[in-house]
Parts: sequence; C-alpha cells; structure tokens
Amino acid sequence: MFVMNRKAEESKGKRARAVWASLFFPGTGLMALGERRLGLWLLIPYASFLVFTIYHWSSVTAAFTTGDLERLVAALFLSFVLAGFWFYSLVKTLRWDKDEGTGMSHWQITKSQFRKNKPAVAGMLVVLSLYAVAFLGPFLAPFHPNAQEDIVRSRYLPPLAELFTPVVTLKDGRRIWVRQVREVGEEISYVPISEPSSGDGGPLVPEAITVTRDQVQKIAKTLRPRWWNQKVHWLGTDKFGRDILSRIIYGSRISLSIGFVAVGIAITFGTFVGAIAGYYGGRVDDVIMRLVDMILAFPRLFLVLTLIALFTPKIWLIIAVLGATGWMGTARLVRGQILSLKEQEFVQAAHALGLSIPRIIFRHILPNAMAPIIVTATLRVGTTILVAAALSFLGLGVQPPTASWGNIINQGRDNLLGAWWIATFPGLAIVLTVVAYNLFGDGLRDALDPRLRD
Amino acid sequence: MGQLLEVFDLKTYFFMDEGTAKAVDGVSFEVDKGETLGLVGESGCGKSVSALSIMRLIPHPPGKIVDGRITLDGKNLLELEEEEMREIRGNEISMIFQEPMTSLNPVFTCGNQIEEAIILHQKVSKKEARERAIEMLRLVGIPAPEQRVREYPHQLSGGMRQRVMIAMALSCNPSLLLADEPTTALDVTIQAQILELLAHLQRELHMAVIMITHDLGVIAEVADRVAVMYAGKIVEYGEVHDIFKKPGHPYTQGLLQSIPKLTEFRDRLAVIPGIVPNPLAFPRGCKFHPRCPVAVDMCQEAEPELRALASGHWVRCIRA
Ligand SMILES: Nc1ncnc2c1ncn2[C@@H]1O[C@H](COP(=O)(O)OP(=O)(O)O)[C@@H](O)[C@H]1O
Ligand code: SF4
Ligand SMILES: [Mg+2]
Repeated sequence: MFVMNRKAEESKGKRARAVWASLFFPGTGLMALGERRLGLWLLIPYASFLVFTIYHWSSVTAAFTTGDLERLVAALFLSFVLAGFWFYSLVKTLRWDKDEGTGMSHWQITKSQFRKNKPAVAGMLVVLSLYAVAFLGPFLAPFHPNAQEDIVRSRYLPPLAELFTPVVTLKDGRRIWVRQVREVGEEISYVPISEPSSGDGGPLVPEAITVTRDQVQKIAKTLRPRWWNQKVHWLGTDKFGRDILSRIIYGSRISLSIGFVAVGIAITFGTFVGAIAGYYGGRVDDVIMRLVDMILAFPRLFLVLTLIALFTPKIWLIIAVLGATGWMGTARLVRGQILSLKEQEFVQAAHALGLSIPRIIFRHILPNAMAPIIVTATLRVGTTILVAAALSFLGLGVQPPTASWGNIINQGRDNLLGAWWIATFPGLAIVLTVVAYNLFGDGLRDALDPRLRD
Repeated sequence: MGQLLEVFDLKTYFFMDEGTAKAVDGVSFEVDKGETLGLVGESGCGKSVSALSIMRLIPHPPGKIVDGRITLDGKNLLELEEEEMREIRGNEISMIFQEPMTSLNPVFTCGNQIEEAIILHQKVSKKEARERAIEMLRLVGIPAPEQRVREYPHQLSGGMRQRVMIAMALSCNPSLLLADEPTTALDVTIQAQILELLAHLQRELHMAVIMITHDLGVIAEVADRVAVMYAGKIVEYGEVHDIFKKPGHPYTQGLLQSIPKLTEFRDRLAVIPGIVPNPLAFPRGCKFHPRCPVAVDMCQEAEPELRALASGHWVRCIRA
C-alpha cells in the first residue's frame, strides 16, 4: 500500500515537471515522460518556426500594424502554428496518463500503418512544408516577386548571381539603393530603385533626385549586409530582372491554393451528388450518372479552355472551372461506395432507430466511405495543380505580372537555351509538389485499404 | 393483457422487371402486450419482409405495401406520415438483426450508437445519454460498461455485439421488439445466452417480442404463440403447445420432424424434400403441394383458406 502511494506520488511529480517543461518548450515534457518520438516531432517544427519568428521579429510585429494583407496573413499563420504546437503538446502532456479507453479506431490503425510508410511520410512533410512556404512567402522571399531592381543589369542573371548595387548614404541617415549615380561638380544626382520589398507600387523608373555633395555621407559600391541576408538571386532572374526564387515562392500560393480549393470544391460536390445518386438509385441515379458520363466524354482540358475562354481569367474563375470539371470521378466513386454500404445491416439498423434519411446518408454511410474519398482527394490535388499550370502556360491562367508556376515557365519559354533556369526551377517545383502529393496519397491508400489490414 | 399490435391482411409485393414477387401475401396476426409471438418458416418465406413492413422500412422501389392494416395501440401505422413513423421507430418499436458483425456502424463507438437513439427520441443531453448508454450496456450484461462504451464494434466479439445491438434497440423502452433471427449467426452456447437475456429483458421492460427464426427449437423456448409462414402466407397459427403437440399442417409437421431429438437415433435428420418455391412463380393451388407428402389432386386446384382446427388454432390445409 505504502509503496504504491509513493509510486503514484512520484509519477505525479514527474507529470507536473513535464507539464512545466511543455509550457515552456512544447515537446520536451512529452520527451521527459518517455514519448520521445512524439516529443521530437513537436519540438523540431516548433523550434524551427520559433527561430524563424525571432529572426524575422521586426517584420512579423510590423505586419500587424501596417495594412499589408499578405504580411498580416503570414504573421497570423506563424502565430497560429506556434500556438497550435504549444497547445497540442500541452494537452498531450496533461492527458499523458489519462486512460484514453482501449478504443482503437480505424483511424488509429491507419495512423500507425501510415507511419510505417517512409516515402508517404516524406511526401506528407513536403506537402506541409510547401504550404508553410506559401503562407510565409512575404517573409521568406528575398525579393518582391515583381521588383525589377535595375532591369538593364539585373535581367537574365544566372542562379547564384549577386547584383551589387550602389548605395547612397545621406547625412540625415537615409540610405537609398540606386540604379545610377552621376556626379556633376558639387551636385550628385541619383536614380533610386524601388525598395525591393516595398511591393510593386511606385513607377518603374523613379525620378532622379539631385542632392549636393555635402548632403552625402558615403557612396558604397555594394551593399554587403550579413552573409545570410545577402541579396543573392539563388535561382537567377528572368528577362525583366525579377528574382525567380521569389516568384516561385509567391507563385506557390497561386498553384497550391488553386489545387487545394478546386479539389475541395470538386470533392465536396462530387461526394454530394454521388451520395444522392447511390442512395436513391432508380431514376435519380440514371439522370446523374448519364450526366457524369456525358461530361467525362469531353477531354478535361478542352472543357476548361472553353469555359475560361468565355470569360477573363481570374483566379476564382479558374478555381471554379477546375472544380466544376473535376467532380465526376468522385461522384462515381462515392456512388459505388454508397451502393454497397446502403445494403449493410447497420444502415437498416439506423433506419430502425428512427434516424432521418439525410442523417443516415451523411453521418452513418458517408464516414464509412471517407477513406477512398480522402485518397482520391489527395491524389487529385497533384493532377489539378498540373492542369492549373498547363492553363497558366497556355496564357489562360493567372495573368502576369502575378506569378504562378505555369506562367513563369511560359515566360522562360522564349529563352530556354540561353536562360534555362527560368523554366527549369518552377518546373521542378511542380514536379516536387505532384510527386509529394502522389506519395502522400498512395501512402494514405495503402494505410486505409482494409484488404491490406490485419 | 390487452392487444398491442394487430397485423391484418398485410400484402407486401416487390415489383421487378421479371415479375411481381408476392413476398407477403395476406398475413394477419396479433401480438398482446408483453407476449412473444414466434414467426417461423424456411428462409425466403417472407418473415423479414413482414417485420420490415411493420417498421415501414420496405425498400421502395421495388417493394411496396399494397394492402392491409398494421395497428399499434389503436394507430394504423400505414396511414402515418413518414415523420410520425420515425418517431415510432426505435422508440415504440425496435428491431434487431441477424448479423451482429455488420449491424453496428464500424466508424462509431458503441456508446455513440446507443446515445444517438436516446438523444433523438428522449431529447436528453449528451451526458445523460452517455449515462443511460452505460446503464443499458450493464443491463444487457456487458462487463465493464464504462470502458466498453468507448470501444469500436470491431473490438467486440459477435455475442458482445449482439448485446450492444440489443442495448441500442431497447434504450428507449420500446413496447415491441422485432427480433429478426437474432441468434442465427451465433454459436450455440452464445445463442442460449442471448435468448435468455432477451427473455429476461422482456420481463423486466414489459415488452412484446416478435421472434423471427427458422429454428423451431428457439420458438419452443421463448414463444407464447406461433405463426408458421410458407411462401408469403401464414399456414398455421396458434398457441405454442398446440402447435408442438398437434401440428395440423404437413409443413409444420415436417419442420418438427427435422428437429433432432435426444431420445431417438437416426442416421440422417428428416428433411422436407424439395425447395422453397420461387416467389415469382408460385405453384397454383396450395403452394406447398409439390413438396407435400399427403397432397391430393384437389390441392392443386384452389388455395385453401385458414380454418380453425380448435379454438385459437388455425391451419391452411384441406386435409387437416
Ligand atoms: N429488396 C428486395 N427486392 C426484391 N425482392 C425482395 C427483397 N426483399 C425480399 N424480397 C423477396 O421477398 C422474399 C422473402 O424475403 P424475406 O422476408 O427476406 O425472407 P425470410 O423469411 O428469409 O426473412 C424473398 O424470397 C424475395 O423474393
Ligand atoms: S392443402 Fe394439400 S398440399 Fe397443401 S398442405 Fe394440405 S394436403 Fe398438403
Ligand atoms: Mg430474413
């Protein structure tokens, strides 16, 4: 009895310490409690995001006050991610020895199956990182995607090129990046270039400003801030002198969100239609499925091009069109699932309990069909991103100067041999995304497939 | 005891491309409060369709209740709106099914499934529903119910699942339980336990039961009254001891002979020769005549009517 008490006391103290640890450093508490793996999975991303936040501290805090929506979204994303990790880890620590029931749901089995599949986990991590990059674009991109610096000198720079820029430091403390400096007697005139991060506002070639020599403190040839802050064009520049890496980062938001939202719309609609067709059967089913067959008879790209050609291409239109042309496969899949599920006795049992038909369809039948739906959704994001990129490539996607992966490739097309980097890197980004999504989706399918279970 | 349910001249047909299957064709019976009616017959004779008709859960299309009256406590269920019928299902009439492996939804915990009906019909809070679910699980004899409510069906054995099914069906205190072959899929030992449990709960909760089975052994154990069905019609109806002592219909006699007896040694069990007729093409006259050992020519001409053999004992056979 006494021994047991002491043991209980000990474990209590251990838990309390773990909770404190989790309070200050998410994950560490769990590691102390022996949940090494989960702890690390929480600690590493948390620490990375924290370092990122501290490093960009001034921009992050500024984002909340200036009216720049992009930066505000990025800063909010950071806050939510950090808060999320913190909260999750704390809850996990607090409920560490709480008996969670011996309940081992299908999802838990799936999770452990999925974890064993390394390529799938890698795919999932890449996908998550891509979205993080897309959200944090304004903080991550070394340049504004549309900033041209000094176009004459900055265009077609190969990867890893640096553009040394003259900087005029005035006695009043202002420091201005300039395109050109001309000294005539006591007067110095300079043409400033727009601040790289200040967005696409301002004229392309700002007016020259003239000051007297004694207003100038220093003219340096180059700006050499700390090495990691160097303005290097890691992936080179395009024909307008815009930084490719920054354009890819900003373009990822377009490509990824189109993929995600369009698939979301398509899956939701397809699931709804398929569920109705499958459950009611008969004439309803006939009408819906013949419609599906009809739409499927057209090549998708043809449908998309026709629809978009009728209007001006705007991002919401592209999403809507990709959603509207992508639901049929899901409808078929869900219909098939529902057809077999509705004959199961648990559906009869649900009817016999007096549940309403919508409740039976959406709460009892559909969750049983969720696995294949999630798998197709994941696999479809990849193909939808490809279609969106193809559209952009054809000039029917998001219109320049807004960057999207497809239109960066399109702009690199005219100088593929001379400036190979323009089309290559966004192409690689597309490949990476699609491959990551496919690995992720395949892994989900393997984990969810009941035939592989047991 | 008063009458609870009256089924009168129920006709449920399935209209298909190949023709009309008269799955239930003019079935009448009564169930008193607290009583057990055994509905017995070979597979395909229309037992489940009768039960589903009472619940008004016949899949439409192709099925339809074309005629008859089903009266529960004075209300004709066939005249109710679907909305009102939903109020009755799971609340006044409940049903349990044959296949315990598939009659629970695999994605919900046992607790969730029981609670759903309770919340729907009794308009109580989630917490109260959970308490009631635990209480029900205890009532059906599931050990450690506080733990089991959080488990998923695949973690339970077949017998346990059938108990959960029963808990679910009885959670709103129905006055009538339709048990459609509740023990057919279970091991013999577990069968006995479940039957005993049902009998116990029936007394405890004062409910009537319609026990559907193809096994006269089960009927002998639990039923007060028996209706023997053949090809969509009731061929014999009466008190359980009358039927077992003086079976009037050759079909019932055949069923009784096919029960193994301890007192008698036989190489093979007696079986009724022939097969259940196809509901799309029933034979003319008495539907049993192709298999009947005592059939005469007249049997092929017109279908016999139910007639009283003794008081409360009805048989559909010209030679009985
Ligand atoms: N969903 C259905 N569609 C078509 N016919 C059906 C359907 N359900 C039942 N039937 C018909 O009703 C007959 C009786 O079925 P059922 O009541 O399930 O038999 P049992 O007595 O074995 O429970 C079957 O032989 C079949 O012809
Ligand atoms: S009516 Fe004729 S065929 Fe039918 S059960 Fe009686 S004896 Fe047999
Ligand atoms: Mg049946």
